[in-house]
Amino acid sequence: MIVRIVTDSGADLPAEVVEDLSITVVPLVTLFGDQPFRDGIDLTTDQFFEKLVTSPVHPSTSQPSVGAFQKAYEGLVDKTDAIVSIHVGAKFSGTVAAAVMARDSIGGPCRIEVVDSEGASLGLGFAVAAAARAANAGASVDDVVAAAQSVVRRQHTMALLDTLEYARRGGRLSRVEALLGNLLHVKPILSVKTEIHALSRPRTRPAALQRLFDLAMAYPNIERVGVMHATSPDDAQMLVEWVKERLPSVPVQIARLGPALGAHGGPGIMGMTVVEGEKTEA
Amino acid sequence: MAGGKLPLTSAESDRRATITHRRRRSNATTYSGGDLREMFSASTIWLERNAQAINSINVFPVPDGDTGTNMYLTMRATMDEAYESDSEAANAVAGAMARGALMGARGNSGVILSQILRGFADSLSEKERFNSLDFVDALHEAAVKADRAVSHPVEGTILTVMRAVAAAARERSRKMRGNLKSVLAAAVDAAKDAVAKTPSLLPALREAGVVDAGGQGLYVMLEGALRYLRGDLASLAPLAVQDPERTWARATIAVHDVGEGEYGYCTEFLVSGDKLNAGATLERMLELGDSVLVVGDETLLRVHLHTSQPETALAYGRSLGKVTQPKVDNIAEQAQQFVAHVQSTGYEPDLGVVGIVVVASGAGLENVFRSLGAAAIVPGGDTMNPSIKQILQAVESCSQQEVIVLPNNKNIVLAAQQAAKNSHKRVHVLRTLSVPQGMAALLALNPEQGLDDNAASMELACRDVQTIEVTKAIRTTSVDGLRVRIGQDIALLDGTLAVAEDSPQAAVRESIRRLVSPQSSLATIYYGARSTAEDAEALAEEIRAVYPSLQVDIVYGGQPHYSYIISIE
Repeated sequence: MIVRIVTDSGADLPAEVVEDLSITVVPLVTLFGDQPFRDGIDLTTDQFFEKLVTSPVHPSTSQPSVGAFQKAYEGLVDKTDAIVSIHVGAKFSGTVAAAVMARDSIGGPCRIEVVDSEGASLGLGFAVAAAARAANAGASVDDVVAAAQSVVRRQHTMALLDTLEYARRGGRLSRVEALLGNLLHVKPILSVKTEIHALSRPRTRPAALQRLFDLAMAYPNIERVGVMHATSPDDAQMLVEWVKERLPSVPVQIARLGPALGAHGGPGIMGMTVVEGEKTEA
Repeated sequence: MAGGKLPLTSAESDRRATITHRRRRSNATTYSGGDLREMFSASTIWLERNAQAINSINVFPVPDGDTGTNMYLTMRATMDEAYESDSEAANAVAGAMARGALMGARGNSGVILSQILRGFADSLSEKERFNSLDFVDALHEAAVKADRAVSHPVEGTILTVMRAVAAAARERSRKMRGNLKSVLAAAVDAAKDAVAKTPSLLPALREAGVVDAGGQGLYVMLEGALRYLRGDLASLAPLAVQDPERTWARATIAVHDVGEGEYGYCTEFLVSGDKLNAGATLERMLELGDSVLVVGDETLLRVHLHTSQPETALAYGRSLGKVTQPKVDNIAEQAQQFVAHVQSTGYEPDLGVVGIVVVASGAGLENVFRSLGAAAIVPGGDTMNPSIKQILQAVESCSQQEVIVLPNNKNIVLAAQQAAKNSHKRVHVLRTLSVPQGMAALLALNPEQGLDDNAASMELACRDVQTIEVTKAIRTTSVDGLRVRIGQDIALLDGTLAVAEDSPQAAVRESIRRLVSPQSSLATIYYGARSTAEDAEALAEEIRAVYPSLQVDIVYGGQPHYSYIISIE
């Protein structure tokens, strides 16, 4: 039986990819005050960003409930004997913990492997897609996990914030980091892998986009590129074209950033993920 | 034991209407739960009286939340529970208080206070009545429990004060057996002394010139209890109606906690269950964050921590039992207030491997440099070049062993280099010749990297910026064919006198015209002490109109002598 893949909406995978690769997506939950919205179900991405800007309360994001994972797994146990469940990095979210709890509560013959992607957005999404491609090709559960973990190791994700305002509101900037440039309207570029730290502090949008591109392209032997945006399709398209010009043979995935990063990045947030090729044996 | 109950607030006066003059107890051998209740009621009233004063102690850089409010609200919850208990047994009342405190504890100080009360109750657990020796033992147990509540106890805090109180009470008890009033008087004196000494133990207090707020709160509580024992009931009359919840709301808006600033959320919750293990929970919470407090017993734990993963902490709580009263606050939300504090006190954030010393003058410029990570500012500029010693002192004041100096003026570079030679630290002087160059260099600082890498990237960054400095000519002269009359507004472009006009605006206009190219993307106008935000904004509008693709930012520089310093990138 084919191994089934479960992820969460923090992967920011476009609907057609999810459908093509038969991936099950458990929605993350965004809370505006005490009102929960399931990502992509109760609130579209456009509605989310509109609400983010207009809502008097800053949203908090939360992992799906254990029950949501149980439901997702239970929907699959009849169809498969193995599930690989790949999620937003445990450093950023309790999603992995919720998935593990759901797995432990289910029991039964179906084997469920939970993988911590250590990343978010397409940094996670690419690992999920790689796992799904392996699974659909008939790979064993161990090989599917290995396929995901391989991308986890090789991916690099960075985000460009148009403003520090939303990160500050969401409490995702430490006190000292929040000091970085708030008097100079800095548009920081952050590394989003395992931990978040500032890579660069450009001050204009064009310089920031250029810097984001340069930082992404600085990795050697790139085999896959992702470009993410929240409310800036034109900027995303421009980055895609830059990538195609620089790396004509490398596939580029464009994706819409959902609330997981969007709540903290705010409108205007951009992201890029690059996956380095596997190192050949020396 | 029957009798009236001491009112907590006049809002509750229907329930606890009057202070009843009870039989004088201070010389009695033993005391009941009712006595205990009233002593702590007096503590609570005295705490309420002093809450605002304690709150005002809370000065950055040791943001402690509103400690007075937190402790008062904790005591109010404590006493609510104490009055729920109908028992006159000391152990029952102390137990109820400990439970009430745990349920109602707010903030670090409140949680530690709750643990003090827990230790107090544990020590009295076998006593239906207590004497002064039991009271002394209870203070000791309270001190021990309080220490255990904190993951990394710090001296110069309420913990130190509590220990001093316990020791002084024991000492007095040895000498004057059986007199609770005397023991408590010794405890109050010891608390007062210990509070006064907190600044000598905690550098942050010394720097801010204040005593520890939590310790002060404890002192106030003990004094309230003593006033009750002495029969000083007049001073314990109820206050006008207040709304502490509203004060609390304000307190949560104010900066919350000591913390290291690494973690995003102040997270608190209660877990109820059975066979709860405080030690194991503490260990797990330490993996998730810092400022960890875990207190309680096998059936109820109160947890406080600062973490980037509040969900994970709460999930762990839910795995133990029923989670109630979850509270997740943003710490970083308060960055703005922190900046305001930086501006008011000169507190220096400690950023990264390399310390940055900046020479600048003007309140605005200093703030911007600090906000970008400067560890020390040497006041100085064109007309007041700092001494080598001043720069050296700034270098030595950095906590880092590697330091980069940004002189931001060609007349200061040499002094900076001399300072570098005279320091035992590794010091690199980056030849920044203007404020904009210094800003560009500092923006390129990478806190993760060492001196050599940073020096290289900062050097590159500061070469990408052009500088316009507008000032008044102090004499009539001619430079490189440019005739300048005294009092004219002149502009230096990258250090070269190039423009002389009859108004600062005209000098800016002409300078911009010369420097801005189609490649320019950003102009930053730092307006000086004698310029206004309105004038700067008008200039910016003018520039934006001429160069629509140029981003024009306005920043208050507050520099003397120069009406405008402008960077073009």
